[in-house]
Amino acid sequence: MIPYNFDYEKPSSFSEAISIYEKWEVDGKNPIYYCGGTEIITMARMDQIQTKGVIDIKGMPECLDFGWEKDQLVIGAAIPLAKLEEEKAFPLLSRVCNRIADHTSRCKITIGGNITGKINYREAVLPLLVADATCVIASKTGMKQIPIHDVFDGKVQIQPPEFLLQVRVERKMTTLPYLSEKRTKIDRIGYPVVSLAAIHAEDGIRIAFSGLCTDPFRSLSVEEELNNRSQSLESKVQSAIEKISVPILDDHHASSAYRKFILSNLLVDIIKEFDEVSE
Amino acid sequence: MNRQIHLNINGEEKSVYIRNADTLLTALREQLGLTGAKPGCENGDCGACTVIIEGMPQKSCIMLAVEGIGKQITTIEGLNNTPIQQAFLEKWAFQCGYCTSGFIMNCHALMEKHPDAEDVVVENWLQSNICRCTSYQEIKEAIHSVLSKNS
Ligand SMILES: Cc1cc2nc3c(=O)[nH]c(=O)nc-3n(C[C@H](O)[C@H](O)[C@H](O)COP(=O)(O)OP(=O)(O)OC[C@H]3O[C@@H](n4cnc5c(N)ncnc54)[C@H](O)[C@@H]3O)c2cc1C
Ligand code: FES
Ligand code: FES
Repeated sequence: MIPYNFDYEKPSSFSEAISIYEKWEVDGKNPIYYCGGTEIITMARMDQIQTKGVIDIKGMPECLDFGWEKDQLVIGAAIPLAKLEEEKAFPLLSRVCNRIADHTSRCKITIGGNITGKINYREAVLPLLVADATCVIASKTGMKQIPIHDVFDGKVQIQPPEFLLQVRVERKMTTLPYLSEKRTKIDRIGYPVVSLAAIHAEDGIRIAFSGLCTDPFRSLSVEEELNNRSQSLESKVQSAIEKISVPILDDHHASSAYRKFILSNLLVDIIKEFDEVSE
Repeated sequence: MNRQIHLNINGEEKSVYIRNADTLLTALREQLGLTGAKPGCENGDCGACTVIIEGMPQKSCIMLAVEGIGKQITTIEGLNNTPIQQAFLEKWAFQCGYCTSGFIMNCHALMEKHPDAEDVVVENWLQSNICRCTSYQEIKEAIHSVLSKNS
């Protein structure tokens, strides 16, 4: 049971949501945007977040949009992962979503919540990073479109009252060869020891990781090593791992040496598989 | 402060007094006496609290009751002699029974959405529920007996 109560509103437009946020902030309610709500409920139950005002963003049409707009796939922030998994409009995203939590939870967890949540893994962002997605942000002056690399730096850098309304992906990115792998400590379902998503674009392999370091990331210098044709397979992988500039996690899920071992095997497999596709 | 809301549960309009912070699980059990949805982990991990909302399984411990306004909510009390309930009895797909209503709700939603589900789909959906008594083999047999009748 959540040990405190809060006000709850479900506005039907993003401008209304922003107005409520601003008003509640002045009133000292410490407002919070609510999408799938799974993280908010579980953290509130344990008193890890405090709020007196919950703004449910599932009532606004932009957040529920899902489909093609010319050559862009539009995904509303409130679309549940189970829908993305089933629809397969962006097959790499479908595959990654299929490995986040379990199916029933995925009927509630949303893409917006997964990317912006406090739980560090944020696996749904990996396909968006390699596909150079665009984020649509709701702001006081209207909707803003910003490249994901300018918004996401391990965490989403959006300052309330602004919030994430949609993500958009170019059609050509959704048709490229792709691979994704996830390893957990024990079971099929669980937080990742290593989770990765990759595509083979014209400029070579693009790859993003979660579970490996504190926050998810895509690194151009790692990709440069993986695409270096002058090196052998083993030395490409070795140099790529050396280019990871943040510490590799060492926690109760896995030691950093074990994570590196898994990563190196996965990278070898991925390069080989992409080589076979492109031959 | 409690407030009155209306929820459509098992085809009937019900009036409930809740706090905005109450989960659907709490509202069902403590306000409506519908105790079929069980509290297990209350953290989204075990599936004992599963209900069906608009045809899809949902864990009622990670959903606020207010989110249910305007939605068709089905609990185990709303199922009557469905093929999957019969199959659970025939195959003895339970021991203590604590997880059973959650499993049945998930299986029922699956059968309705994918009446000829392949093994990979069944596994994907059913991994959402945990049975501490490890009745997994019998649960699998129960689902497959309904699926084979469907085909
Ligand atoms: C059983 C279970 C298993 C899980 N397993 C995994 C896993 O394997 N991998 C993984 O990556 N994650 C996993 N998670 C974590 C889950 O993906 C995150 O907690 C995610 O935040 C939940 O999404 P939600 O839509 O329910 O978010 P909410 O609870 O609605 O929100 C989470 C946070 O994000 C903010 N927020 C939400 N939407 C927006 C928006 N549009 N704009 C700005 N801020 C916003 C909220 O204010 C809040 O702080 C799991 C969660 C559960 C319950
Ligand atoms: S009680 Fe809801 S998932 Fe365990
Ligand atoms: S029958 Fe006891 S938990 Fe499943």
